[in-house]
Amino acid sequence: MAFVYACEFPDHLWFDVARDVWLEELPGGGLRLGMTDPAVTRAGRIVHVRVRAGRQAAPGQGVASVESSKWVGPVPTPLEARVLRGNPLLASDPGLLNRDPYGEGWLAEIEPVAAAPDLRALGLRYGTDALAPYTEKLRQEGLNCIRCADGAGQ
Amino acid sequence: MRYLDFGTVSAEQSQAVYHAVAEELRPGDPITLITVSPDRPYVCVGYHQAASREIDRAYCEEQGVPVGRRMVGGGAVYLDHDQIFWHLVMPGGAPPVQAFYDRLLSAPVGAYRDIGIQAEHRPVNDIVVGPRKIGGTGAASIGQANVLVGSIMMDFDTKAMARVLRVPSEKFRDKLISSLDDYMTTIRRELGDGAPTRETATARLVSRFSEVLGERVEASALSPGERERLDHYAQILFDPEFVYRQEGWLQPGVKLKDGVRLYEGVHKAPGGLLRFIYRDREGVFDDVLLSGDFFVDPPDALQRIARSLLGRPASEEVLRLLLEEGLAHAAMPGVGEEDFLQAFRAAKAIEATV
Repeated sequence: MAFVYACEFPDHLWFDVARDVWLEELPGGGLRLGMTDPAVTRAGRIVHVRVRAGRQAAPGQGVASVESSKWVGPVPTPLEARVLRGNPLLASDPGLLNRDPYGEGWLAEIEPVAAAPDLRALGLRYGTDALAPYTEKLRQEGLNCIRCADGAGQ
Repeated sequence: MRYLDFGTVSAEQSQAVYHAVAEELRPGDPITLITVSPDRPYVCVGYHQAASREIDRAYCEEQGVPVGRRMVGGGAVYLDHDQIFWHLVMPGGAPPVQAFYDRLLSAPVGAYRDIGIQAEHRPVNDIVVGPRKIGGTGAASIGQANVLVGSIMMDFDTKAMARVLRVPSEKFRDKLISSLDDYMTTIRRELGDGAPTRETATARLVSRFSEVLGERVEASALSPGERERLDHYAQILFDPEFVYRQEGWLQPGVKLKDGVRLYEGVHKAPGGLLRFIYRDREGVFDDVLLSGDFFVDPPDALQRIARSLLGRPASEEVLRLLLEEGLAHAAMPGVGEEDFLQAFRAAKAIEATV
């Protein structure tokens, strides 16, 4: 676990620095996808999440859309994949995304179209390898992460 | 800064235009400002809202009021020719939301001040004149663009707005109209006959955005690609399949401005039907209307209880305490403290189905 400008970057996740999403490899070849700490900080308190279960999305296309109290935007996939399911906990508590973006606040589980994709070759960074590009990105943005501490995200 | 003066166009095109420009925007393209008004009134719900819960669909269809869904968040809004909508479409990834509003809302605030209205930016994204909000703003990432949208409120028809929304009762609708009057303002209301023309207000806005962005204004027109996407979005954003899709975000109450919502709860007590309408301003009972079809003695007992709540925290604990006092001096056969609490809970509850 490492921090850059108060933003957390767990050691066991893959990061798409440009798109600000993380991936975790699941047994069986699936991937769990979520928003990074900087992404949820930029958005502010998230009040609604819509995951496109069943959708096949190309790299950069949205697998979900999120609405914070003041912004709406898509959450893209780093690789071509089919959306298996969304995180059911977010339906009643979208604030989990702000409070625990790498744990209970995961967004969706996806199945890559290509078997056993080489995530490094796709430009993703694993764990501490993401720290250097994030240090530069967050420095340019002047962003420091903030986590919401309280309840149900309204 | 590229500027598209889109003038007055159809309701569908007025909503579609910024979606089209955003989708066509590529990294390195110039920032585009659009100003536009619809040629007739229409209603628009937020991207994640459950439209069937927010909108009186039957009324809108009877009256020929189009209903659309935008790809920007927030609540259902009524839009007409008295509002000049502006859309700023910028290349780049998702921005830090607060900083985005802080920087860019200084332009519409400056434009209001130029015409003699002491507007201020109230974080996160309200523009207010004293206690009242003047127009709304919102932001979204669409394609590779960030979009900031807002309106210059020349005038606003609060009755028409209240009529197109799906509300629990006509009493609630009346309270909604008075609440909109309490919490919203317009250029006409602030300046009366001294209000500037639409053209002057628009020119001030464009000039202020040019200053804030530090870029010269370059008048432009839609590209062929944007024109094609405009037609596409004008169709899909108003397609009932898209507007009334069977999912959405349910929230209790009607938002009047940041921190102010209007609620209604109804409860069937043994003695009759109890209706509890209240306005919550930052956690406080701001306005309360209690009514019922049961016997009450003295006749003004419900009004007295309602008055006792004003200015007090809008919580069950406070309500329970004040009800004990209020009901001690009143007779309401078949209606007790627990019935009032049930009506209050019903007002705050989110409906389980769309």
